[in-house]
Amino acid sequence: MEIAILFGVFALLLILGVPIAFAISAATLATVTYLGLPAVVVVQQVSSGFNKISLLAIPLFIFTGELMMRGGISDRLISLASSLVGHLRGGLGQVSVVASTLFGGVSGSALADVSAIGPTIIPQMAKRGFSKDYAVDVTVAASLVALLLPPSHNLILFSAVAGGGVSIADLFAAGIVPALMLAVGVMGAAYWLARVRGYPTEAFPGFAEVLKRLVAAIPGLLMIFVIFGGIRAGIFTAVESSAVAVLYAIVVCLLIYRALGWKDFAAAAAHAARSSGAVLFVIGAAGAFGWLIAYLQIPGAVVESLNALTDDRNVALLLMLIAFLIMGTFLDLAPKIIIVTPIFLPVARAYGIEPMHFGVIMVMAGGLGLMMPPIGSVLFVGSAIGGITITEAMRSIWPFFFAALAVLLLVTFIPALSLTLPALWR
Amino acid sequence: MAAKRSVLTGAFDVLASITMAIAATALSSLVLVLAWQVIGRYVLNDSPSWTEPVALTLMSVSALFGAAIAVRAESHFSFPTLVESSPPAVRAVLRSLARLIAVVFGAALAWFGFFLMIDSWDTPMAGAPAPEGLSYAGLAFGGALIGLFALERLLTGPPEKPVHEGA
Repeated sequence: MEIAILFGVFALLLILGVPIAFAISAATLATVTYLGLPAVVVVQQVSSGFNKISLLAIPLFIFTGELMMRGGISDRLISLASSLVGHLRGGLGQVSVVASTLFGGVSGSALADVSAIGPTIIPQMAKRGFSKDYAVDVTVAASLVALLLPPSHNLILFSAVAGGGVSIADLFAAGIVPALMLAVGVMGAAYWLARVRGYPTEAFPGFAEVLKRLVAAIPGLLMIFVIFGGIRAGIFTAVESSAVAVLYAIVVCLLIYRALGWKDFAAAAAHAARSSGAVLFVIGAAGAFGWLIAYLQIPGAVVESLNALTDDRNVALLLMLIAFLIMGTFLDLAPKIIIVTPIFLPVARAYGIEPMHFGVIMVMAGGLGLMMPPIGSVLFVGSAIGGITITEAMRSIWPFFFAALAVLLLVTFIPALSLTLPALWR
Repeated sequence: MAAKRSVLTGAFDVLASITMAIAATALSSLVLVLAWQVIGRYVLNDSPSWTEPVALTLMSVSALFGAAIAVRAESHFSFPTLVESSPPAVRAVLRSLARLIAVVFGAALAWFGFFLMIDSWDTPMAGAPAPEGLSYAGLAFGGALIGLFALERLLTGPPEKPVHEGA
């Protein structure tokens, strides 16, 4: 009965459009009341949900992304990407993918990525004869690469919710190969669609120009090495690296690029506080939800039910993947990670699935949801930038969706793709 | 009625600006505190013990005040399909329900948050020369702001510009 109240109230309020954090809280409060426990327990658990050191990295990496978006780095990365791949079939479409991958490596956020690259690349593509739906979709699909690259705050979130034992540095390493595969997959889809529609290419500007643009982009690109190298070398922790990343972004954008004013800094801090507040509030609310899930011994029940269905690891993985994809259609990525991890991670462990591998699969599957309605926040932002409706944007999303799905299936059933780099670098 | 609404909106605009400024300042201070932790370890050869509890307190202030601003912008993660496809009258009822739940939960966070803050005010914070009760300040004041901004939405309707939060 308690489980029915917990999930029933949550599902009902979710369908009725109540924000996820409040739906979780109301469901938890209703269940706690039914169990005869004091209501203050819920608030204490919400407070404990916030009280995790590893969560400190999330607002700071979001802050870094905001600073880099406003501080001139995206223009230089687009310029570099244009000189590298603009002459390939699909021209600016390929540029969008490479620029998003480079920016993803410094922001770790799909939304920051599409917000930074989109306003420059989408209008340019439209001006040069690309249809707007293609321009929006290639940019949206490319931005998902950022979810898997350091400093992805979604991987940090998974590490925090997993409750220790899953190193952030290892997770960052585990995401790199799947991220690059996703970039190649999206480039392939962009190439195919560009061929079908006969889109133009850009002229190759020459190696001297490539070198010039690379030099201009290097200060921003070095961020990847500062963060990843600093953590790997043991100079600072992942949390400390997020503060270093903010300071580095300020130095690059203020002193080197001279593109960040006081107003930009204040706007970046305010936006980062609001965005991370929305993410962290769900985490806090889910702290109480997760506590109840453990209290009611739900993971054990899920393991038993799944065991009754199959004892095959791959079948279990496939079932979980299907569950993630379905959940991705109605839950945004961060809430999905927060709600699903406490239930499914013990199940994954019971089947001998490496938590790092599980985390990468979950984030990738959630990423597919971000480019699809009704939840797809990244698709919404991309469409708003392109000035088209979601229905128009859906016209050419499918090649990109299936390319990303193919990569997801490879990553799911070939664990070495995500587990080799962390093992090599350990 | 319109004048009354504009006075109300004006007052909430001021409150929102103060809330946003506090959230952004707490976030920026968090950077300095963590940077000091690294400097303490490598330059001063003395890892300060106060940085972690202070950083957690700053994060909770930034997060809950930021969450309150997101309540005002109605940009919290949700599943809006049913609401958006409903007729206007049903949509208005569903939106009011969501705002009412936010008012109640914000008030509960504030009430119990203040209770926990006062209850632990005399206990010292582990590692920092501050009262433990301070760590609940974000919850108490942030909860109150969440409740207030949800109440504003309940009284005045949706914000003018839609905002997307996300990954």
